[in-house]
Amino acid sequence: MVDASRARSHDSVSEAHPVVERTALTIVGIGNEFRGDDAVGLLVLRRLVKSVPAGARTVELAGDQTYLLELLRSTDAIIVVDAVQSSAPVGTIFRLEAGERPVPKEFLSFSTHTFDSASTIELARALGFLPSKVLIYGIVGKGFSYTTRLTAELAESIEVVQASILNDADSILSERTSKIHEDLPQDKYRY
Amino acid sequence: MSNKGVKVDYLARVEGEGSLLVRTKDGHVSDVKFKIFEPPRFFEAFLRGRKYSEAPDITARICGICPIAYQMSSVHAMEYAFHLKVEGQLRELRRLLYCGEWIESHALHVYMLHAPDFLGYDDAIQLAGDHPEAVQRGLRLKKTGNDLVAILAGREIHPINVKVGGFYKVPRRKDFAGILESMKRARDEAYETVLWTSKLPFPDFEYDYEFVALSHPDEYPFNEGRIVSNRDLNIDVREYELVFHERHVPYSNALQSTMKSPHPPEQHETAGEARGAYLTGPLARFNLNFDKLSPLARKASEEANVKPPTRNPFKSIVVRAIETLYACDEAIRIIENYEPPDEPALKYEVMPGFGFGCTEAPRGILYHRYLIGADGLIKDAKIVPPTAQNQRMIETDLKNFVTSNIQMSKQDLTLRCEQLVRNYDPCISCATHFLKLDIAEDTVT
Repeated sequence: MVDASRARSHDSVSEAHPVVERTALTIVGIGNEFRGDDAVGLLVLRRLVKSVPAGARTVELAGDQTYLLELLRSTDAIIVVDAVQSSAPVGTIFRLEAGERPVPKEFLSFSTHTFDSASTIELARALGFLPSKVLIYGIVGKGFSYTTRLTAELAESIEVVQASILNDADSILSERTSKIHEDLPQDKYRY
Repeated sequence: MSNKGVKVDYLARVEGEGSLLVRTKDGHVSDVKFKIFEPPRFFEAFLRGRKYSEAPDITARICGICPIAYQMSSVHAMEYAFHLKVEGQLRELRRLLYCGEWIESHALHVYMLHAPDFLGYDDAIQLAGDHPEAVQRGLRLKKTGNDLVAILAGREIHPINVKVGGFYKVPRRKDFAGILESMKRARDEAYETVLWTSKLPFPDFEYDYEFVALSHPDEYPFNEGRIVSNRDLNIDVREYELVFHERHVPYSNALQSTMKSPHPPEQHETAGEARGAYLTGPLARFNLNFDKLSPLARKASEEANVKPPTRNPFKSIVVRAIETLYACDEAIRIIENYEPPDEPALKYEVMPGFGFGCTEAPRGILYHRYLIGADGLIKDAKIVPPTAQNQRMIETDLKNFVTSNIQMSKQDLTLRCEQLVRNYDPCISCATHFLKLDIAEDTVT
């Protein structure tokens, strides 16, 4: 797993010590860039990383999904994008709201990861620290062999998911801002 | 007597893709196949022509769970070739790094992958519903291991700070300030884990294994030692291929390892030429190196009533907990005595020749052998991961377990067989050069 913000800075080995600070929104791209279409979650994240609104943290995850638990503990909302295997056509996009209801069992078994992202989300729910807002984007891939090449049909899906996540991020953060304003004592507005 | 079979098309809670088929006929096990269909990755082939110094980072990519083991075996092999001996604080830092990997790997397996089997849950999610504090304890332990690896290796997964001769950068004393306190908490939680696992219900099953592990005169083995067994094996790492050989079986993408006799042909009659399957991993290390555990780890073993020789493979979950405790204890010792070395790595001269390395990955011994040219390029590479070595023993365990539990319902037998495979914490991606399980109604005619 790689936190995109840390991965570029290794001036001191101590800087790599994973400190997860609380944040309003976390956007996570999951995948293995050396296993073909499994990289699609990472590629979506890399495409949108420069456009995310203030207040959102972006994180790349590859391999060990238990770090996702640390992220789930420390965020008010989370958007996860990952590759899935399915009989649906390659490029098909699943969008699940998992904050209020469990991820369907079929979706869990579709994940390409052993301790997969959907199972990790359900583990956080069982342990009582799942954020109330959880969005999962699953993009159906075709080839998961050892290659850095992506199936061509995924290019359009990446663009669609990128745009959709940015819209979600805007609405999650603006809802949160409205909520903060509603919660503020009225006299604060005088300033 | 009815025919029965166990067929699991896709083994869950293991790393990688494999399956298991057990066929029975007339009350006897007629066939056992431990199938690995994770595609081979040809790491050994694409190491050829690469610079010797790339091996630690390339081989670390073989596994997301035990990358440190791959880095350690590769750097030790290169250092063997270059007549380089890493000692002092650099050696201690390597042990410390291995402590982190053992803690994170063992905590994941004990709580998330193996414990649900013993308590009748499908997975860790169900376990967390009824035993949230246990699962939280496992997660805290794992995080402590991850954090330690991140400090020393640059990041938790795909580490980047290990090099031939030492490290690219070594930590300052103050870098350990936060982890020391969390490691002391982890040590307490690891002790609780030993006691918690010791109360799990263990199937009544034992086997007279040949245990194979590293052995070092002064320490519980991580990076260095001779390869020994509970029979009469005691060899240097460079003699590995004289004793262990790999064979291809048609149903598996992973080569299976077996033992040859370590004796010359004229002694085969007395020593026995074919020794076959053997067990490497926590149970082997524990049985062969119990006296090298820290006093606290030995005390926990006594309290848990798990002492050598432990021949029930299901008790490997307790042994993993004991090793987790040891790793926490050892990490605290190293951190408290740490003095930053003057240089992050030793200087050396590249020399052509063979390099041999064997270190103790969480799952067992991991062997690397390289041939380095005068130009520093890798001419040949051989990597034998622990899961490949344990494959044949897993099949033997399955055959023996099903044979002695043939009266069990098919459903229970299937669950037990899956649990039995998970005793080995198999890492299929590593072995593929592996797991899905099949106990099917026997259709043999």
